[in-house]
Amino acid sequence: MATTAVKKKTGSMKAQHVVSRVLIYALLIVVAALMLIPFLWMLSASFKLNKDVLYVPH
Amino acid sequence: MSDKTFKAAFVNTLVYAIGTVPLTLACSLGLAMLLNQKVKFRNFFRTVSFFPYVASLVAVAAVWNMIFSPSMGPVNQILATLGVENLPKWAAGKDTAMLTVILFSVWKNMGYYMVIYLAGLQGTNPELEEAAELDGASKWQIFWNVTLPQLKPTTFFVIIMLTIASFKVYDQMYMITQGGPGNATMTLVYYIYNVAFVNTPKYGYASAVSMVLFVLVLFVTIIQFKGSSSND
Repeated sequence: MATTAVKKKTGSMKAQHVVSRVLIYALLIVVAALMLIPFLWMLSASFKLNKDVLYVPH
Repeated sequence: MSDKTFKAAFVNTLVYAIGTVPLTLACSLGLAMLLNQKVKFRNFFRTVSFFPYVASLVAVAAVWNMIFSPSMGPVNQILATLGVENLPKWAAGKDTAMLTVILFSVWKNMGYYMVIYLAGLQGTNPELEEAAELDGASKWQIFWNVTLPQLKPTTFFVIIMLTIASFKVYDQMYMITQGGPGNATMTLVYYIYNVAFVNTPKYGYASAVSMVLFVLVLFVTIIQFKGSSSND
């Protein structure tokens, strides 16, 4: 009885750990994207003609 | 005192400060807490966060101007494809101009303050956090009652630096909005520059406005010093 309770607890803690890890990485990737997008955009714009810079393909 | 532009500039400077200081503080502290743990690619994420601060403000502001361009910019294009009507006009709209500048400043500066917070976090005592964890405190409680009090000197420094920097804001306004539309993003320093060097120079009046700015910054900093020392 006691061992199953302990097992259950560690199991839920493990699940919680995984969830928090996933959240952390998701957050970090979003932040990294926000930080990098203007620079990537600048990089891509540097290879384009002036008329194509603000053109979005439909 | 009957100068309407001056009043607008004064209010806008305060609005900008109230907008940027807490937002930058929260973002940089959150980021530092995230990147102080053991995560993979930690150095990559730290570098990326610091990137905007390294780049020249003029260059990234020009890029932001294009990305947030109301008619052609990628942001509004994406919003349009998502079906948003009433597209925000960002820097060109009277209500959104200040918000755009605030967002830009937060984006640009949070990496720098994140580094300061990381340094502060390295100086905290991990034993205290372990002790709190053994006592059954939740992560949130540990953060508020154990980690944050240890970071108090760092927070004080960050708040002072942020406040002074936000009172001095000029380059963002010059690059993104030129103080417009109307006087929506006219701040004190940009107004000083306008009065002193644009059209007919009025050095005396500009100096007077500079003195107002000086007194304002001095006053706010004194209040902050008083507030922090009385808590100890």
